[in-house]
Amino acid sequence: MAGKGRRSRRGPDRYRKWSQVAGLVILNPFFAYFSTRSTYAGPLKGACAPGLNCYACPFTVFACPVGGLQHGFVLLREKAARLFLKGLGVLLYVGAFLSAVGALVGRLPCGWVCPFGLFQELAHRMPGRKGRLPGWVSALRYPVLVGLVFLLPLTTGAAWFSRLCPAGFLEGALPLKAIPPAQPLPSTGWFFWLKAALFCALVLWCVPVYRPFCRAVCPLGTVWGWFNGSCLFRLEVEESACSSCGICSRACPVDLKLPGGISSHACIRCLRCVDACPEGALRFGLRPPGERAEAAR
Amino acid sequence: MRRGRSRKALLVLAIAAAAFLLSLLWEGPRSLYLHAVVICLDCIGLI
Repeated sequence: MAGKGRRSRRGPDRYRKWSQVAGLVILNPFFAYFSTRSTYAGPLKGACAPGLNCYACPFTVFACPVGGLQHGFVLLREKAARLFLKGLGVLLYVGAFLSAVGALVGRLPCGWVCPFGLFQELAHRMPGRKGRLPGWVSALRYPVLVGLVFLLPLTTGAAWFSRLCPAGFLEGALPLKAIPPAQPLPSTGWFFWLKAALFCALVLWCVPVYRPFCRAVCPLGTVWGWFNGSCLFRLEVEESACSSCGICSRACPVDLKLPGGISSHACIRCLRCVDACPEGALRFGLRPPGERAEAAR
Repeated sequence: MRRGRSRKALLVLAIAAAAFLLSLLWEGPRSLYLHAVVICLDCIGLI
């Protein structure tokens, strides 16, 4: 990637693409759809996927946590106490999943599992000028989370993030249009074309900017980003070994100022900085060597 | 500081476990399942 510094490929980054491809296959293994033309309805569909993976995708066996959150807020509108409590149950369930993943590994699934992240990385490989994401654009993810995922579903009763989600278009709409299910779908309306236009705009945005959706929009990344500084999985700098050469900053695909911004909410934990550091000053793991030595004393 | 960080993460995990157990009382996983098995028309723009 032009302008992103030296990449030695001796560390964890060399395995990342494989992990992302494995994530794509593990989250979407229902190839029986080709013959049955009906989507998976087994018990795993009640479990959340650790990534933005649309549950309208005919090949998926998991539920999208962002879709789950919106469904919970829609149910909270119901006047019947039974439905209201079900909404609360869904919110607690999805909230527990998001908090547990966040407390364990923070945004690690963004860099290593999320199929939509992989798609954006592939789109970024298309030829064209490469640039940075302006700082203020990344602040859009907060109004997206609060507005489209929490408030609008609660006030209007519709899943507005899902209605506009480009991952839903790529993983749900396109495969279902290409290989229609046995049960006929409603006819295509203007909203479908609006969604298609948003998806095309995102693809064009991916060419100059690395993973713009993850950095400026994704509600999952926003929530897991809050845990980056406090999760059990750690990425740390050994200050005595750091020569402040700035190679890690130049290697960072999301333009973080490293090593200071190592716990930033925006870090997708791709670990490219670990590969790039010539001093080996960046370490990662559930218990980094520094703490192991501390515990042994 | 590192120990404090581990404690904080473990506390969040404990709260998440409690929230999961509470969600079982109100059929959280079942409600999500029933919602997820139907093709999400919102998600594919066919609303």
